[in-house]
Amino acid sequence: MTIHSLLILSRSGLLVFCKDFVKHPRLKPNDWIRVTGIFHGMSEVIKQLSPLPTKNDGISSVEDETFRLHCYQTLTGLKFIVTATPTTENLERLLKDVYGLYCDFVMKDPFHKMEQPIKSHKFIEQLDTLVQRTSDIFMFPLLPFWQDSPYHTYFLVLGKY
Amino acid sequence: MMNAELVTSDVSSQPQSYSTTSGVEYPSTSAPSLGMGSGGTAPPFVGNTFSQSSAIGSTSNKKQSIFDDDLNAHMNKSVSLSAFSHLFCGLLQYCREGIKDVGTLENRLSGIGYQIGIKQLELITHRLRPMKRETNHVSMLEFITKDCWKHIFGRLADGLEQSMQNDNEFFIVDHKPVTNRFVSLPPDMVTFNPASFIAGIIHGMLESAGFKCNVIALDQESDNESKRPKRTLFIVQFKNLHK
Repeated sequence: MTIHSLLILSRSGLLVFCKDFVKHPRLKPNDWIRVTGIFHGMSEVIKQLSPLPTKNDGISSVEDETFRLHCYQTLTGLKFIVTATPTTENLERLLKDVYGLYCDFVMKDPFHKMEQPIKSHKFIEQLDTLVQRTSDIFMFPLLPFWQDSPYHTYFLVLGKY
Repeated sequence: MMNAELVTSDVSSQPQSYSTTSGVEYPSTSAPSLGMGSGGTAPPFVGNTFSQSSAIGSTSNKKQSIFDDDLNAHMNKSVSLSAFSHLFCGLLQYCREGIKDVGTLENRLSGIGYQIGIKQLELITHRLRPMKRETNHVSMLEFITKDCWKHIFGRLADGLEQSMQNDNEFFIVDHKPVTNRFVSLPPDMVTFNPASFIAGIIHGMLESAGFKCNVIALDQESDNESKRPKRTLFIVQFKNLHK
């Protein structure tokens, strides 16, 4: 139910944005560059191997017992990657929202250069609130008043979002 | 007798010849509206009495482009925020070429706004109140914060304040200027304010109305004690003010 980290790859497979929401015990930023490089390469190979000529999105998700990785590739070739705990759902929706934020706060920022690391602090702020909101929705069924409160209480909580 | 006949014949023939020549030689040249309000919130100005004048001399029913439209035809339409933001982003990148100094960049940006301000004031006074000219600096500032703000940004400015120390210093308050919305400043340019573009527009309007002044845009951080949100001030300092 937790989102671990969010990565953005540019068209050529460069890691332009990396943010860890949960601190990883072993991975360091340099390791992320290596991991995403391998991921990009594999994704390109899988595109070639795909038996269907129409569907060429590369890897869209990787699932494991301990984590789940989701990748959303835009029509322009950008890759938005999120890793989360395996029970997390709606990750594609989250990635599309992040893409919306990217279009607003990175593409319209005159100080951003293409294929360069993203430094727009407004983008990072908005991303934090988005992820916070999403994890709140995921956390909702685990809240302590889930069992013994009247129904309207958690309808109110739902209404917030 | 001769004079009188001449005069009457002139008067009777004048409107026809005038309308035909104006149709041939001067196709209505108009610029598209510069309304930059966010999409969907059109400024509620109605009753553009001049919009019919482009029909004179147009004989064919062929569809014309927006550049052939009348000056007031796009009065109630607004430009989408995305289109404006991308254009402003390009403008800022163009202004930054070869410039390291924040002050020079702000001056350049406000110089572009100055040219827009002069033209916008002409356009707005033509559209809204063609018969009136403001001669008092306070009523001119009110005209800018209400009518011009509504015309350009689709909403009113958030306030107009006078300085306690200086009689000829005024503050125009805006909580969310449209130019600062998507711009994140890098750490070496924290003092730069993209709203100096709007400051330039205000400057152009005031100077072309006959008020000599200086206009500076300034970001004010949020104040927790008085619960004031983060806002942008446009500081207007009048010169040679006569009372």
